[in-house]
This record gives sequence, C-alpha cells and structure tokens, in this order.
Amino acid sequence: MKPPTVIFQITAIGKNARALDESARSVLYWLRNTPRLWFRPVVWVLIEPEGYASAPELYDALGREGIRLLVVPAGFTTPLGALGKARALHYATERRVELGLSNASTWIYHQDEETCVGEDTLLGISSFVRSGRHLVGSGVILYPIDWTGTPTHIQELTRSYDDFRVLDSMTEPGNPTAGFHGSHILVRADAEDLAGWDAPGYAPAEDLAFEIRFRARFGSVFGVLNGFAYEKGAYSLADQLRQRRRWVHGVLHALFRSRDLPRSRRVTVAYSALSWFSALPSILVLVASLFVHYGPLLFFTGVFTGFVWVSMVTAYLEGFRLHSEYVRRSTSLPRLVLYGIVGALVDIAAPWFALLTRPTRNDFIPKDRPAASGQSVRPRATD
Amino acid sequence: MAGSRTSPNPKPGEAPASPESSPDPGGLEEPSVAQRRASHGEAGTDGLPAWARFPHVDSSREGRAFDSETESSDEARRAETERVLRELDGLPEEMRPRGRAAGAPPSPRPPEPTPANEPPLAEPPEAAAPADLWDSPDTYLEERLRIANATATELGRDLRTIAETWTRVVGNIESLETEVKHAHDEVAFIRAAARGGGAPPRRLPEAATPAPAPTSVRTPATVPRPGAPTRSPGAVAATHVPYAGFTAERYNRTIGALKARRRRLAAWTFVSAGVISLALVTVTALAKEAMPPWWLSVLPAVWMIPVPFFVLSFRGTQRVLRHNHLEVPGGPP
Repeated sequence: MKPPTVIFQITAIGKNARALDESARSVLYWLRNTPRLWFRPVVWVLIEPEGYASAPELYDALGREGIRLLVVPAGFTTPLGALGKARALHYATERRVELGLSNASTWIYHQDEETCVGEDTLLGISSFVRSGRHLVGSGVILYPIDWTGTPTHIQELTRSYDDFRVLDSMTEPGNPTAGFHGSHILVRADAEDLAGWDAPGYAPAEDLAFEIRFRARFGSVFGVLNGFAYEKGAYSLADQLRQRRRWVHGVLHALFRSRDLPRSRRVTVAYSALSWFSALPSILVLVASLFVHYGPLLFFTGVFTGFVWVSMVTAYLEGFRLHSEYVRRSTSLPRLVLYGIVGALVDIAAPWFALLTRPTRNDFIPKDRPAASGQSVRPRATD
Repeated sequence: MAGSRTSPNPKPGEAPASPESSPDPGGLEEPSVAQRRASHGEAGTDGLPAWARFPHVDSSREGRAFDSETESSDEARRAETERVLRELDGLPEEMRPRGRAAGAPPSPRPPEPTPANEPPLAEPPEAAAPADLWDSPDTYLEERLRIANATATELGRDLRTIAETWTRVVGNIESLETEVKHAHDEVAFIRAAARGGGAPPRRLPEAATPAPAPTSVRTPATVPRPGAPTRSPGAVAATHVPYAGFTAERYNRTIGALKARRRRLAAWTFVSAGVISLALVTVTALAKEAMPPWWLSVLPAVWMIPVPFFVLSFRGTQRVLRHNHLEVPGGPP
C-alpha cells in the first residue's frame, strides 16, 4: 500500500509575511529532519493578491524551496459567494480536484500563518493518517513563539489547557461544549471537499461553520491528533480584544445564520456562548455584593463557586506547565498573576464588546513581531 | 674566534706575555734559555715547554718548531722577525670596519702573499669584531627577511584555509552520517510498513450531493520532498530558529508529565474547591443575614451559569488524558 499524501496548507491573507515564512520553513525543517514519516509531503501556501504584493521576494523564495504558492485570483468567486478565508479555502478545494488530489489517500493539514510545526506534529500526523480511523483530527496548540510574558500571552496559556476540553468535546457525539480549531487540524481531502468551505457571505468563524457542516454530513468522525502545534499570541491587548470579538461574531453567526446547525447542536453552541457572556455579569455581581447583601442565597452559590475558581486557576497553572519546556519565565510570580488578571478581563469584556460592534473583514491581527519588542525574552526552544 | 684570553698581544699597560709576541726582537730569549727555565721548575708561561706554548706545531724532537731557526743564522732569525712584524702591522688593517656605504673609502687591499713573505705559521685572519659586523647589515639580509616574512604570512594563510576546510569537512561528515542514519531509518520504516500495511481508507458515507471526486485518481507519482538538504541539520539546528527545539522528546516529556499528574490534579481540584466552598458557606452562616428580596436571587444565579461548562471541561480533560495514548514515537516518554 502506498503511503498517503499530506498537504501542509497555510491559508492566510499573507500580510504577516515573516510569520508565514517561519511557519512554512518549520514544515520544511522538520520534514527534512524527521525520518519514519508514513506520508508523502506537499506544502501549499494559499494567500491573497495583496498579501503577495506585500512581500513578493519572500514568497518567490519559498517557491524556490519547493513550496507551491497559490494566490487566490482577485476575481475568484465561489458558487455560494463566500468571502474571506472561506473563499480561499474553497479555491484550494477546487485546485485539489483539478490535480486529482481529492481522494482518500490525501490529507490536508490546515495551518494559520503563525502555525509552526515540530517533530512531534509530523509524527502525530503520520500516526493519524496511518491509522485511518477518523476523517478529522485536531490537537493541542501551544503559544511559545515570540513569548514575552505580556497579559495577552499569559491569557493564551489557558487556551492550551482548555484544548483538552476541546478534544474531548470534539470527539463526543454532538460536541457538547462546541470545541474546534481552525488550525492544527487534519482532514481527509475527499471528505473535506465534500463538506466544503463554501457558504453565503462572510463567516467570521469559518472553522466552526465547517465543523458544523462536517459533523452534520459525516457524524462523529473526529479524533485526537497527537503532537502540538506551535503558535503565537497577539502582541497587544487591543489585538487580543479584536481577535476574541471575531470569535464571538463567529459563534453568533453560526447560531443565527447557519442552516446546517441541528437543534441539539444549536443548544450546546448557545450555552457555550452564554457561559462566556456570563463572565462579565458575574464580576459585576461580585462587586455588587460589597454593597448588596445576598444573605442566605450564598449558601447555594458558595458550594459551586470554589470549583469554578479552582478550575480557572488550574487552567493558568497547567497552561504554564505545558509551556514550561518551551518558554523561559522572565517575570515574577506577582506580575504573572497581575498580567493573568488583566488578560482575563479582556477576554471577559470581549463578548460584550462584540455585541456593541459589527463584524468586519478588516480585523487584521498582526503576527509579525514588532521590530522594537520581543527581544528581551527568547523562547527556550532556541537554547 | 680568538678571544682576549688566548690572544698573544699584550693588553694596554701590560708587559708582553711571551717573548714571541714582543715586537722587540732584542727582547727575545733563546729557546735554550726557556728550556732551561722549564727544566728548573720556574713558574709562568715562559717556563712551559715548547709543545705547550706552540700546540699548533709539531714540537717533537723530529719536528721541533724552532729547531731549524735555532740552528740557522742570525739573518734567518731577523727575516723571521720582520715577517712577524709585518704581519702585526697588517692586523689593524684587517680590523678596520668594511662598510659599504656610499662614499666610504675602500679598505686597503692586503698585500698578496708571496712565497717570500707568506707567514708559515700564521692562522687565517680572524673575522672582525662583532660590533663591527652589526654596524651595517647586509642588503641581502633585508631581502631575506622580506622573503621570509612573506612566506610566513602565506604559510599562515594556508594553515587557516586548511583549518576552515577541515571544519567544513567534519561538518559534512556529520551531515553525511546523520543523513545516512535517517535514510536507514526511513528504509527500515518503509519496509516494515510495506510488510504490515496501513489501514485501508474508510469509505465515506453516501453523500446527499454528488461528490466532485475525479473519475481517475491522479496522485503525483513522485511528490517532491520539499527542501532538499542543502546544509547539514546540525548547522540548521545551531541557528536560532524557534521551531528547532520543537522535538518529539520535549513533547513526550511535557505530555507525559501532565498525564502522570492527572490524578493529583483531580484531587487538588476537589480538595481546593471544597475548602473554598466551605469557607464561603461558613462566612455566609456566620453573617446571619436576613433573606433578601426575591428578585435579588437572580443575581447570584449568574454565577451558576458556567458551572456545567466547567464540570464538563474537568471531566473531558481527565478523560482525554486517561484514554488517549498521546505520546508520539519519536523520543522517550
């Protein structure tokens, strides 16, 4: 039996050229240095024309390294009129069909522009495609690249630990806590092309829409992908806020616009959103308790409050432990606690900020390291 | 070179050390007298036997140095004395510096020795004094130094080139060894995979819409392995790329540690949550507050919204860590 083909597909606008370059080169590096991979690799970089125009030399250099560069034509339209990233992903689908790569022996590993891979990622992919038990795989993402210990980066620690919740929910029928990724996912090509990325208009969270469509079509075919992916957090609180706002808009878009969302799934997605929205009122009620006495009502709430608080603190602690092999702590513990609180406040405010603003396609989150920052702390990976 | 210790010339203010060195021919003593003094045990150079005073000549009875002169006439002795005196007169000329500076007068050429005036016992003239030699270096010396300097520089450059080449060769050998090992692993893995085979691809369920799958699957026969090795992996690893440290070993260590503390994590969560909750309930009980208006109960209920989410999250995390073999086969767990 011939080994399958894995397409490492980096889909982005392309304006964060240096971050994308680093991601592509991480794939090349570990393909070169990891034997015993049971697949034949291909690397695709899928960008928009404006992204290519921002750094043509860099992208041409990647092309000379053996990477296939796909620039989505400016006039390209999908049958349903998808916009944004979904449009580019649909374009890649059409290219695969043209090349005869839309089959059961081809897999697509989806990467964002800042998604670097490691040896473990490739070995995890190899094991996954060799087992062939699932059509989609997803794993845990760490955020050690360009780590500087800012409030945003501290907040990202919790996302890594939360990924275990995502993996469990994703592999459960119905995905009870609505967990999925847009990157670090591995999808069999024929199944992905059948489910498709095409959707009317602009979907702020095209990955959630895809997961809903895919699950509706193929059922619970999701598996755990071993190996981390390595990404980077936003560089500022404003970027973090805008990134979270886009996620909330994506959830709301799926709730109110997705025709493929079953009723049961709609409930779970709504509850997940409600949990996030409840964070800010919880804080306000807590502050209000200084003036308003809730009295015996606290007998009931006090029983569960401890569990919620401990779960939140555990997410920070275990998230940091997951990163401890990859980043060097440069700030004191009190500062870490303070930064964690600041980062959490941004996440708490994000859904309400999203309600007050409209979705926009211009939410460009810089991922290229600013020239003047990020130099004080080097990732431990470079030691 | 003869030193002052062996020089027969007297030092300034000193009396002649030996009768032979005396410029005064009238001061010479006859060998017979010296021999007599020696035979009487007189101290001093004059008392030495002839073989000791003239070690460069055969002083035996058959070849005695002065036997012929001793037995010759006074005229022969005078001629001998004159030759010695001439030779002594020529010494200052020999000692004169021989610089070749422009305008310097040429040193007087010593008289050609003739059989008549050739000193039979005189040694070849000694070289000039050291101070005179270093006074003005030879022109060829500068040239030789220049050549030697250039050669040394070139030699150093060649050595550095050899060292760099050696370093490159060592790096290439390491790269070659690494690639050969990887190739060996790759071949062994492919052979094992060919024997065992992979799982057949699962058939997709019937789609509601026709699949746009091609009629003939046209997978490229040879998918190019991107990024053919152009430099050694070690060299790449040495550069500061953040992804170079994302190894399977680190991953296995990280994920293994998390799995190992899964039970402790659960225990810590329950115990800590219990302590906090107990404290809150105790404080509420001690406060002994009155029941608030009914509508206020809505507010604390907000805190209860995410409780199921956190419970599911805790359960899911524990389940993923317990049921999944999360390690990858690349490094020690």
